[in-house]
Amino acid sequence: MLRIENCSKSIHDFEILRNCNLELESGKVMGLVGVNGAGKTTLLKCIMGIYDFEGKITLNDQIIYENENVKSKVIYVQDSNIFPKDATIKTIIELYHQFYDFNESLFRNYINRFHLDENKKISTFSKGMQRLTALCFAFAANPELLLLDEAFDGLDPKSRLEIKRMLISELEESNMSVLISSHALRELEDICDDYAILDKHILLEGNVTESMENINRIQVVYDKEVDVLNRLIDFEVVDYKQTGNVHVVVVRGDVEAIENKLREDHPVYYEKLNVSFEELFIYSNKEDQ
Amino acid sequence: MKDKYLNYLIKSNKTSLFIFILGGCILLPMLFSTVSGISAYQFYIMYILIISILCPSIYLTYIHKKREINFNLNLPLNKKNIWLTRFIFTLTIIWIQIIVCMLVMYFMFLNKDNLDLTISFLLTTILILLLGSFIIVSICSWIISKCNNVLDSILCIIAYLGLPVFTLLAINQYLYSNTLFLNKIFYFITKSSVSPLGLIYEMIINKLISNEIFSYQIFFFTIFLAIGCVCFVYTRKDIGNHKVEDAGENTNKRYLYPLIAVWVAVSFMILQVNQELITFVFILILFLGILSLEKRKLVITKEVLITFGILAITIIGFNFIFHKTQAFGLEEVYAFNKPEYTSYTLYEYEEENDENFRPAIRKYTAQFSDKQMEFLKNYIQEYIVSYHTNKLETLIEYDERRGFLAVETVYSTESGNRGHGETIQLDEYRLEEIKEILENSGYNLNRFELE
Repeated sequence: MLRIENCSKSIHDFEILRNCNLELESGKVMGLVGVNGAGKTTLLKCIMGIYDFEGKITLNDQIIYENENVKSKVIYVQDSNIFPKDATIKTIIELYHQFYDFNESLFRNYINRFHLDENKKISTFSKGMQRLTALCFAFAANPELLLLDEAFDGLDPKSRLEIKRMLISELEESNMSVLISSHALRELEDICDDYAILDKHILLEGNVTESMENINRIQVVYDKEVDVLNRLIDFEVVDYKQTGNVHVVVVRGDVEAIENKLREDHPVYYEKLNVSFEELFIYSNKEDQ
Repeated sequence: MKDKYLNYLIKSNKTSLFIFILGGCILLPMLFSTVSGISAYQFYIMYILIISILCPSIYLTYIHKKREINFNLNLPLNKKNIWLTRFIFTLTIIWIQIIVCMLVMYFMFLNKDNLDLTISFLLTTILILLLGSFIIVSICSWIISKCNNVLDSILCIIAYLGLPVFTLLAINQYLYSNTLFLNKIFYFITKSSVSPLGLIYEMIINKLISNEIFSYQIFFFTIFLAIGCVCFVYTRKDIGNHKVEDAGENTNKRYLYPLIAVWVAVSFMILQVNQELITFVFILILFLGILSLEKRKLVITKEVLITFGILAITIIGFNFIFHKTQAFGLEEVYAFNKPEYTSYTLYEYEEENDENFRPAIRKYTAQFSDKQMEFLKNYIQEYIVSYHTNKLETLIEYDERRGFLAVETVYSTESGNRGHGETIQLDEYRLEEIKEILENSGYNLNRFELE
């Protein structure tokens, strides 16, 4: 289990993370979301021990920072290519063999799938291919904790799908935990069990399915003036818009209780709409503001 | 140290390793076969000193490159082990070249060029170079760890290794121009070198030529070795605290650019304090230039100008007091127990080496107090003549640029060879008195001969 306790980090006197607390259970996939500059990459770098920080970050109760044994169980795929300029897939294979429990046959299977040339310098690959290369290495290194920063950035739709399949397949076969930061929230919705919304500290965290079930977007039409906000005073209204007699309200709480309240004024039309993970993120940010 | 990481470093730096090993172990010895033994050793020591700065600048500056430090820390390694492995890797590259090339040179020049090459010489010089390169790499690694980018590291290495020499030369020059005896004190220190670069070079050349290493050289070498060890231990400990987020940023530590700017400015002020005040404007420009390097933009603030002003006033004030108090009374102390012409002193020692590296020219300077002016005539007549016995030619010239009256004597030896005697330099304000004394003595001011 990954546990982050009171993690704070400032860079050049600018506070990036403040008392950040988070837990990720083994075998789970967590989406780490936040606006630009929220501190997602910084948090991942703190976990990996690239940045020093205040607080404590442990994997299975062992501190990760500067701990070579624990670090060998963690793989961090960064948002840009960090392989050395002259490195080829071949040279990195040698390196990974020395440091990780590296499954070369699995890796070769992956790179053949994406037609990656192992003798070519990685720095000459396109951004998407560099990302694919890093992800292939990460999956084949069999980590206990996989940190993915903007994992799907720069990938074409086919590759995204393929990577998701690879990830799901790895998750089925191992007890790997995955922490993914991404702006592509629609991508996270499919693969994440949990989510955490970050803005210097964790604003909100929970189970993706449960959270989306708990938030309701309701479109209701009345043939008269109705004060919908007053009707829903006992509920947590996240967003509300009115266009003529059409009211669209996003509200947390028991959907049946909300429906009963709104039906008291006999609407001519009532519909519960689905809320996506992306909207959940937007509403969470609105609440925070 | 991590074997796996060292293995990776060797594989990933094949090209540069090939260049260094090929250059240091094969090409250089081939080149040396075309020159004399002494030239080969001189050139080779300089090469080792240069690569002792170059190699850490290549292999230990990974901390300044965002991509490289991110990649390294992504591996299951901690900061200390990465640094230590790279340090050993850097040193090994240099040491391999030292051992291989020194052995090749030893056998190449054995019984050649009248060089007295012994096993003791070979082992001593290898030891000096191994330890010397450790000292330089350690000092460089400390400086690199304190900087945030490669350019700052290289500039600071040059400054830290070169500035002590420049400062001491400036002080020496100041004392030479303003005192009669104090320059003797610094004569020793300048010769023994305040930079490990000069010291290592000097020690090996001494060993090569005269088969001896002076005790003061061993003393200074031991001090530098201690500094090297401290730099190594401290950097190894401190590298864990190095902030990755600073990689590639400007270096803003007070003991780097600000200190270097003050250091350079003060050295130049000491050198130029008796010159026209306009020279201080040039020093100010230099001072601002060095400070501007820190932020890569021109920095002219009130604080900076005030700092420079304080430095200038301090140096000018010091110079004034120094003159007024005759070097805080030290002139008198050193004049004690001297003959009446106490102002006569050795000011400069130059060697124009012949084939056997023996000193051929000695120069002296003298300044005379009011009471001692009378001594001048006797001095020229008695001292120089008695010293050389042979026919002596003395020239008196007024050096307008330096404001000195120079009295130079050239003598001829019995075998007919011409040699140099002493040069006496006298302050400008004494000129009229000297003229009078010399003219009264019947000497021609422009040129005169002594029998």
